[in-house]
Amino acid sequence: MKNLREMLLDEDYDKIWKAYCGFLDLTLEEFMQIQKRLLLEQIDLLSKSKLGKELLGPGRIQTIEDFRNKVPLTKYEAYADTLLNKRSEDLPSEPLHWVQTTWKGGDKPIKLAPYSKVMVEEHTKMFLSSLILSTSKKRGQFTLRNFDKFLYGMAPLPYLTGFAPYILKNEVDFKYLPSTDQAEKLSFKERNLVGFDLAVRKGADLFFGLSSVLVKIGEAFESGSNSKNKLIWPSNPKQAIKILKAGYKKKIKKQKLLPKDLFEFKGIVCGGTDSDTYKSQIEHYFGITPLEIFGGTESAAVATETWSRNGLTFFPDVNFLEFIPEEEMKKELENEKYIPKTILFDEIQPGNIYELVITKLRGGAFVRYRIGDIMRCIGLENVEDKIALPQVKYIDRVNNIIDLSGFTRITKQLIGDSIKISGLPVGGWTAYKEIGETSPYLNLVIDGKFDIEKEEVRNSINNQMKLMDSDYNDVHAMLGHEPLKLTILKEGTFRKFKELYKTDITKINPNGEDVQKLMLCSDTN
Amino acid sequence: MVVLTQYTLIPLISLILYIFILVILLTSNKNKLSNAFGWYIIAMIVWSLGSFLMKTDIPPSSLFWHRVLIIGFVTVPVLLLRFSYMMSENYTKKWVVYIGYAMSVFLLILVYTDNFTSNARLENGVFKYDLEYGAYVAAVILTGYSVLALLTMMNKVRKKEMSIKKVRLVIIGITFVVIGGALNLNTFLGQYGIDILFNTLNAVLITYSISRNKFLEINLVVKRGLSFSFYNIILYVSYAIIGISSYQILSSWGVEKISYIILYMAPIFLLLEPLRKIIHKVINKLFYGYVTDQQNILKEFSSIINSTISLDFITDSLVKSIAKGLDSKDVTILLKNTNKYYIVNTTIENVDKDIHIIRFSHPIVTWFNSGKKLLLSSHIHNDVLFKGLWDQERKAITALNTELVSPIMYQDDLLGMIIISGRNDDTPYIYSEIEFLETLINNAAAIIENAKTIESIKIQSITDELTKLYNHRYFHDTASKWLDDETYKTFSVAMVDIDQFKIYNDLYGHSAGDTALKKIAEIISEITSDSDLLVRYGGEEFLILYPNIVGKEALNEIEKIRVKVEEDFLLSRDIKEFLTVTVGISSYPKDGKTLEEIISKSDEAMHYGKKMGRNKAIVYREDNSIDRTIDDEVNEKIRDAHVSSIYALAATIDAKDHYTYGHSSNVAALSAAIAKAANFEDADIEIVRSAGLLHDIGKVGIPEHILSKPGVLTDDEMEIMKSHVVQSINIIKHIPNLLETVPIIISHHERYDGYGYPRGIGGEKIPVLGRVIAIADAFDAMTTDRPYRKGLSLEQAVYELNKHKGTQFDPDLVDIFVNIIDQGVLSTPTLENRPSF
Repeated sequence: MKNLREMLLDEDYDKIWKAYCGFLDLTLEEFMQIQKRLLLEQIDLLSKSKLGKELLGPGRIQTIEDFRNKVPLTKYEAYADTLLNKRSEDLPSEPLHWVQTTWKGGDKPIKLAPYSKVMVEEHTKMFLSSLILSTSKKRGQFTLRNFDKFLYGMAPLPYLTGFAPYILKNEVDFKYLPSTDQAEKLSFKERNLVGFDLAVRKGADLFFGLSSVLVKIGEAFESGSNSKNKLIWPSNPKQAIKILKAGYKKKIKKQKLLPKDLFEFKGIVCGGTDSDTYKSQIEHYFGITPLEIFGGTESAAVATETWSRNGLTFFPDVNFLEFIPEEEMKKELENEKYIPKTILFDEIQPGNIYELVITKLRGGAFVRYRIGDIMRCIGLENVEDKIALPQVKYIDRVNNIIDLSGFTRITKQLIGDSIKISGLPVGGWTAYKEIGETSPYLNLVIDGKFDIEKEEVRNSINNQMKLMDSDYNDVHAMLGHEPLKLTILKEGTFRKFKELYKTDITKINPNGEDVQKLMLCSDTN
Repeated sequence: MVVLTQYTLIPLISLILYIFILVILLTSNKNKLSNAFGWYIIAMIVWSLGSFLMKTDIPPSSLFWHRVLIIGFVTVPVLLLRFSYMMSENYTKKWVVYIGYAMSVFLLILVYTDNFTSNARLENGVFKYDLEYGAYVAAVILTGYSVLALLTMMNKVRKKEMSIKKVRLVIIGITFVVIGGALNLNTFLGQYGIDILFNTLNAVLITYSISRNKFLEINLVVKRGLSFSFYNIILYVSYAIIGISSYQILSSWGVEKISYIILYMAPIFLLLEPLRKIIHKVINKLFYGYVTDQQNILKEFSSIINSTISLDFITDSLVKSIAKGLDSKDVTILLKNTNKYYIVNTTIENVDKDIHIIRFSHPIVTWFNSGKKLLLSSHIHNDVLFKGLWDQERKAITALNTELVSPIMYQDDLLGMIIISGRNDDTPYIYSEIEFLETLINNAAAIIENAKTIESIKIQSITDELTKLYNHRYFHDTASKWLDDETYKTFSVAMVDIDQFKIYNDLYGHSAGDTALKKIAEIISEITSDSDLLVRYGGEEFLILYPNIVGKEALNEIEKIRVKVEEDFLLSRDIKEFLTVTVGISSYPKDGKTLEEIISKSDEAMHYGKKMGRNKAIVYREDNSIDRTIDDEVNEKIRDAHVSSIYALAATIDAKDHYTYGHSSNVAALSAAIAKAANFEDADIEIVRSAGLLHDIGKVGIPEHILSKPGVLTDDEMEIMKSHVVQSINIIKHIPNLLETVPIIISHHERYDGYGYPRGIGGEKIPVLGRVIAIADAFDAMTTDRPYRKGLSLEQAVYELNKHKGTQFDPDLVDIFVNIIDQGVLSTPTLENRPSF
């Protein structure tokens, strides 16, 4: 079997498209057949492993209906003991890698997810599908080639995105900026900076990273804050012309310089929860719309946008997909013990909001697992791209976590502890995410009587949060923007809310109605 | 005029061959490599064309064509190097090729300024020229490039990235070209065009490499038309050569008259037919080398399959014929049975036939059922249909060395499939071979179907239809043979009996009972090995014969089955399942010398297990007599204690609420009274009494606020409330002594018209004791005081019963019950907490 490198050498583009993007030709029925068939394999694998037996419960599960009726929905807690202790022998398949992520709001600081050889291969294939699609303008056409210069702005090992350059090595020849050897010695921030310096000299064809980082770089270009007035030596004639042109534009014509003056990306693939927010800005700076890929440590690649960049299409063979409808989420919110019902991919309806539940296929560990992501179905097909599969848009993390630009996940505990340690006389508090004009904010609403200025109160809490959560600190360092917005309400507002409505306002992401009620309490207080 | 001489003939043949190669390249599936090779061939064509035409007087002039030759000559080495770099994926050295282009241009300038050759002329059909300094410069450069190209290719072979088999002839051919080109430096040798002779040789070698060795990996399917064209060209050239040469020879002898010429040439024409045959054979050998062999194989196979009905023999012959005809490394045949395609024959050693199966849902099956004919391994890797492949299935595809899969279709049914590996010489299959394969399979399909039918009839006669295990008759024949032939020195017999199967059947119907039997048979098949003999011995009895194991070992094996049945039924989340098995084990020759003896001992042990409380596996021992041991008594006491606790629990539930206090014992008393009046047997009366006591035990799992809610229940609450019936079963099914009450308790909320719950069954389908308890339960409930209403009077209650006779209640039983009341018999059972009457 030829890999992508060999197929590219043979200029076998039709075959490449078929192998990597062929799933876009599936009908919904075919998609479901693949899903159900692979789930049956997974059930079989699970039933032979210790962890699987625990999750499936006693008795034989033979059908998909059985599986959905009898197996409970799970969260990471159900796996923590097995996975954090790396008990490979208890898993449905032998792990090749253990991928790590932070476990915000969990018992332990990290989460680990096992990846078997087959899963790694599948994930690589999905990632390549997205890369190919990012360089595509229509069905069957793409410009990705061997030796493309790849600006890779993602986390290092052992995070999921850190694996990509290593696993891609067997598949295709990219020139990484910086090279993987060099990147290993650098921090996240340094790697991005070195990468962009190299890209200016050599040119770049592909980018994979957080949308927020791209916007930040765009802003820096526009404001000229990154120019150190040092001489840039281009490493090829094409880039030399670009640098000369850019110099002319900036120095002679005195126009603002944009990254698109220096880079001509074939494709940009973006991850991160706020990708949609940043899309238009990235297009403005880089002259090309990023293609969004959606995935996570536990789920691997889940869905990808296609050339119209309007809606995510799910990969059929990575996860078995179930969806918790909004009304079921509400029922659960009202009654913690309520077990929400799920629907399948062929049952989702346009306009509705769903929480995603995945069962990892191909020997994965996660079963009916709630990764905590919310999506909206935007249509039953992508008319523009002629894809006959339901399309979704990523909305956000589930309500009890606030995700900022994909960098960090703010929890109730982090804010609560920060307020406590700051020693400020805060009565009550609630926090929610607000989308500003260019980037998302965390609006922290507190009440109390303070002797110090509002800004000091904000700084005091903000500093504690930075100390306690290095990822939160990175938002400042990387994006150079203050995500914390503070609203101080009159003392006793939260108490009054409770008196009036017989319940405390939710600490994280209260609904809009409750926020209004709270504001009213403050006004009338 | 073009005169064919020894000097012009060779370049002409060379030209034709290279054009033919180019046509092959253009008509086959193109890739980057074949494109690069195409450019090299074009340069060779230019060289041959120039060489041919410069030796003729075709205008503009010999010098012009000589220069054309040199254009080909100087570009060949550079294009060859480009090709070799591409083959070795050496992209960093592109600059060497670019320099080569520049030098070619430089050399061409030398050519056109007469600094390469000079004084080029045609003298008596011989082409002569003088060399200038440019030729020596060119010799160095071009030889350098050619040698570099050859070294690059050889390096690829050395690194084992390419098989020597595939390229050796090409390398030899190119070496000839280099030598031939260099020989031109000698003007004496140059005039004879040795270079072009070597070029021709090169063309032949390349053609052969492409057609037989799949050089370039272009999936060459030489279409018949193309090979015919080639054949016709060769034929034409040969005839032309013979005709023209003969004419020239005759002319040189002075024969001028047409009539004489025709006369003299007559014998020559007689030679044409044998010559045509030879050419035809050579061309055929070149492109369809195997065709004749294949025809023989087909004939042989047809005669074999028509002389046998043995499926094994037929499939074996098919495998061998395919392997021989296609020169394949491995061939595997899979045929369909009731639920999968399984391997019946394969040339691969040590294949695990149990693992490498193809299910009906397998994408390969979908592929063929959608009407597609042939499946290549590249489809499996790239086609989206195969995304649903299981990892295990992928491994099977690899293990069977799958290169192509061909279906065995018979009357639109996918009878099976043939998996074929790559060829012994690693070259791809060609079109004619696929045709051969299809013919072979078409011939075999009907015969296979026939043999399969005969075999399945044979199997049917010895297996049980429902469970697919062997039947009683086969067991007796085989086991007797074991004993007579002393096949095994020792073996164990396990008698497996399903506990409470009658209740299960009564409760859920015979169809559910059959499903359970099948499921248990599957479990037995799964957990036993191929050498064990599995038999459905009777209704709910199975026999397993374990060769060569006795005692504890046999017990360990049988325990696996017992535990699995327990897990899948009794302990499953489906609370309606309660089946278990009890097994008795005996062994030969320890427990008996005849079959009857051994079976009766295992039967005895099984019955002992039943007495011990069921769900047991017991090895026969002389002393496990039916007499009670101390252990048994202890066990029984424990069981009694269980039963008492359950009754106590039931009473507690009633007592939770003073309204329902005494309800269970009242229902028990009333049910027993009805059963007695209906003349049921004493045992049934006792069972229905127990059921009455226990019927609401599941309410222990219903939340307090629903249980004692004063008002009407919401839909959701009602659902929860209704679940008490199945919850009752879930508790009771674990107590062996109470299992008989299960069908009754599960029916106490069923209605005669079928609108009850949980099963919604009606009429006679509801167990009769269930219908009894339904009346008793309703009656006691109606007459109980509730917080929001007072209990009905006796008359009112009787009125209600009569009103719902035939809809909610069994009309006959209501009549019996009303009769009891009328006769005042109701005072006999003392009802608790019922002040209304």
